Amino acid sequence: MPDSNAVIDIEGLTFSYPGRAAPALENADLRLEGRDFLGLVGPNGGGKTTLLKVLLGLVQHQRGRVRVLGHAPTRVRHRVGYVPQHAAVDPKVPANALDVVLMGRLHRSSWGPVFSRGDRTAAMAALERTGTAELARSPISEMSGGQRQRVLIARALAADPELLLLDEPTTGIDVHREKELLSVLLDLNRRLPIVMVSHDLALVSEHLKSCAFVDRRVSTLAASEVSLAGIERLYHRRNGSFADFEGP
Amino acid sequence: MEFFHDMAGNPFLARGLWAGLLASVACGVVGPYVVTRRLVFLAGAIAHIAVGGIGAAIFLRHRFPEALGALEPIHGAALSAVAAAVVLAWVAEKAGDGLDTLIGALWSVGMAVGILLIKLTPGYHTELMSYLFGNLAFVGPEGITRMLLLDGVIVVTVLVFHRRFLALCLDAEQARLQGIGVLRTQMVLLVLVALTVIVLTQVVGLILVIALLSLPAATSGHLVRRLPAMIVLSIGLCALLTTVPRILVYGGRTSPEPAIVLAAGAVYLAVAAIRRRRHPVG
Repeated sequence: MPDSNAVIDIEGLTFSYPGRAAPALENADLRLEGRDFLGLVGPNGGGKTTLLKVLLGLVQHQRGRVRVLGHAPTRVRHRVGYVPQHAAVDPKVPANALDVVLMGRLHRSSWGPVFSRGDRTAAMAALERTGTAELARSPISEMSGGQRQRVLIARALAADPELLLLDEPTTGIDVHREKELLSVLLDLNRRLPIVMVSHDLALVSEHLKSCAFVDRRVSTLAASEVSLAGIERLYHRRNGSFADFEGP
Repeated sequence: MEFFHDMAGNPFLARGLWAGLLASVACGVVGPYVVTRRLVFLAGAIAHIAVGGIGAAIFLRHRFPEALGALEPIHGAALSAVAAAVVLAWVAEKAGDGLDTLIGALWSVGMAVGILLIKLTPGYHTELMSYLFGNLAFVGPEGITRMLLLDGVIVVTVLVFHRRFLALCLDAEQARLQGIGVLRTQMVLLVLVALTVIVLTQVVGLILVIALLSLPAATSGHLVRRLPAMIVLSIGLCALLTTVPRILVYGGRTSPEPAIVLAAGAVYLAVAAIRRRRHPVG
């Protein structure tokens, strides 16, 4: 049943990479409504990043129905903020944080050498929302991984997104910075639905509203099940079935 | 000072200086993108494939003197460099693994074709040497006009495309999500590299073009921290490098073209060494 209120609505999604026999995602369902904060967990190679790529329309699925903000993913790309791992931005590029965040405004106009005053104001506001305004003029080569990650969140925010997708934002960031990052995200979540891929089960189970386990299929945990024990049970169940497959 | 004394009576000397300054605009503007987006190897391939175009132009002009009598070797170089830029942009997008092997193959095959076609053309081709190693001593007025024109095209294109180029340098996937055609933008950038190669041909020659495209920009990269500043500083550095060594070696046995490249290399190494001593980690 199509539902226009759903932020994300995936039904029976199957996606295979070209030349691979086993699908990366198979018959997957996922729904996200309101201002949820969904953690995507699961084993490496289980399809978490692929799921984000499907949501961004970067890859085309073979079967199933995918709706983001009520539309096909490629149509609403500019309304979705995507935050890659901080390593996605080349730190050797001679640019400062403001330059990076302004890239989030490119879809409005990308011709000519300079951004408009409106773009700059929006970019500065985005830096402020992630607590990095004082870094605006700092070169990205001199920033820590955590600072760069927050600048990338600001880049996504600069486009005024209606949904935020993050791919393992806490990778390579120390515990203290991770807390800072999380509080920025929780604050943003008061206005924005967020989907975050994470390896950090403790973080997901303690702070996030809901959780889905991605391992070719997607199992969404009921709110009452979102606990470290609940998530770990899914990994164990998976390992059990894995052993069956591997058997002689 | 002998140089300035002779300049009054010899228009070629002044023109050689102008040629160096005009080349500085092209390589100062394009070099920083080449270094930042790590296109140095692709730029080298474009320059050497242009040798194939020079060979083809000399060969065709000889075979079809009536139809192609007006064909200059530099036209062949320009056509083949631009074609190489378009093909290499496409190849780089599609190839994935083994890209460097493929670029190396195109690089050497392009050059081999040029050498072969010149061997097949009767006559002794001294002009080839001036394309391979530069010829600052004999820059004609048409050379200056051509450089001015190409500089204009390069500067205008960069003004229009700067933000797209920067997006590509920073994070190509994000650029794609912002609705920017990554392949098309990369093609435009490589065509600019091809045009810059043509501008630089007379100043240092196709073989040494890569030095002026990469060294001044890389030197600037050590000194400033934003791309526009890097462009301005690169233009200034190129202007010094294409004039000062030329004036210093004037009247001696050294030709100016390799002196320019050696000076560019020396300045780069000196700046890199000083930076390393001040910031041992970075």
